[in-house]
Amino acid sequence: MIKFSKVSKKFPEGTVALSDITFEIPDKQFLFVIGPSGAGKSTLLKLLTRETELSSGSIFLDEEDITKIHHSKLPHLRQKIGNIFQDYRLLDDRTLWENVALALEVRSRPEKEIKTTVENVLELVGISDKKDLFPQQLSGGELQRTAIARAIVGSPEVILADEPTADLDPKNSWEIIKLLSRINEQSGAIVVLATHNAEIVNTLKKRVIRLDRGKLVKDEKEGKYESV
Amino acid sequence: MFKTTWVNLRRSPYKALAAVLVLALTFFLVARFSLLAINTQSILSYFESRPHLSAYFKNDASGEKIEAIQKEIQDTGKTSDIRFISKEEALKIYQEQNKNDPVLLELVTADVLPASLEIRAKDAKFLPDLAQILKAKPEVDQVVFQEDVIKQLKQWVNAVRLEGLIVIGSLVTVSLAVILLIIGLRIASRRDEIRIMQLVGASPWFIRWPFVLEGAFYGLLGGLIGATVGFLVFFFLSPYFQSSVFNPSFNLPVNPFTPLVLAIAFLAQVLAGFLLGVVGSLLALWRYLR
Repeated sequence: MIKFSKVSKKFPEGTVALSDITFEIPDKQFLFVIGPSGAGKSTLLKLLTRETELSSGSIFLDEEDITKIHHSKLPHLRQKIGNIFQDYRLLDDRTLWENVALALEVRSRPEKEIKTTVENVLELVGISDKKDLFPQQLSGGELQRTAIARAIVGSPEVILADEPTADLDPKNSWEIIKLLSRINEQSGAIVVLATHNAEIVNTLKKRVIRLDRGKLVKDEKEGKYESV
Repeated sequence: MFKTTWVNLRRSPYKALAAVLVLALTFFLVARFSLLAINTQSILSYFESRPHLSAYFKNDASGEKIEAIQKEIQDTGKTSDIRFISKEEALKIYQEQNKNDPVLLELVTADVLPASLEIRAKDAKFLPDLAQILKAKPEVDQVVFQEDVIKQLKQWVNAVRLEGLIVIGSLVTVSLAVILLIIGLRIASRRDEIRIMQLVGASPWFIRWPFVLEGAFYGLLGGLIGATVGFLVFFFLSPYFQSSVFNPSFNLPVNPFTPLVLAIAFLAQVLAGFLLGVVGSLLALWRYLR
């Protein structure tokens, strides 16, 4: 379970990215975070991995206040979370296989386990035939599948996806979302998906929270994407 | 981890080459100066262990007189060793030193050579006192002591060492700076990758290791090349060095360069290169990746 309690984030220059956000995400939930650009969606996700530090409030993951985790324990926190980004953020000089394996290498898993787990996950996301190619040789959809494979290969408790379909065509977008939805159902990991894509949100009928100028303005169990 | 390091090296061979060359130059000079230092040390100890003072007696000095003088000198408590060299012994030493030169051997008989006392003082500062006593004796013809020679030699050796230390010190600093710069550039060019690794949950050391290994590699290779070339040059030059500076009559008794000493000196330099590389990259990490 994830719990945001009175979370605010102010940037040094005075911009308020988030203000007094409180909500909970129960285990196994699939959650959309929507809102216009600059609403604070990305900041919300970055707080969960401590890529950004909050200004006040607290965030709990499994009863642990992650805002109080010592710097040296951050890798451990991040290993519980799988990240997916709009720009994929893969390592260009490594093959797909190596990019995915990285997530297990940092967890010091034995080589044999890495080999079988990575094969399985590449199979699951449907790119096992491309595993020896480098990122430049792949399409956007394939890159995002690789990023998803890297995010889920370590069996994280939470998957954070920040606009994962923003750079993809509708067909690929749908496949990525379906993949994430399936992973959510099969693994039980919490999925938090920040998006602009109204069609996806409206079709999937999952919980939706809406941010606007740093405030939580709507929280619906089976939400829709409406322009305000 | 090794793969990342290898990829880094292959990506920018010129940076790698520059680092290795600077380190090689450093360790080439470290090799030269350290061998020179070991050598001069042995020369110094050789001179220091030689009798500090020799008193040559006139031909008519009687055995009893000489014994009395020897006792008097001994009783001052300032000597560590006194040896009487009779005319016959002096001849033997002379013959031994000039055994390859029959003309010189023929010219000299025991009569020509003076008997002498070879005196080693406990400390060089007693030498003038002892010389004073001996000079006052009518039986003593000549007193020779090498204090000034040793003093000058010491000054010279110290100057060489100091200069060596300064040169090596500056080169070590330059080497460190070059490694710091190159690893620093590497870190800067890989910022995005480092960020990605951090987000995936990599521990700080998982990220740092390849950089440390890269620095260690430069150091190891530079140390190896520099020390090898330095030692080779030494081996090719040392025959000339030995024969010109230490001509046979000098009869330098010890060769300090046993294979063991050489092996230790060589390995110490390679190890120093390795450590220099590690320290350089740690500095870069400390500076750019905290």
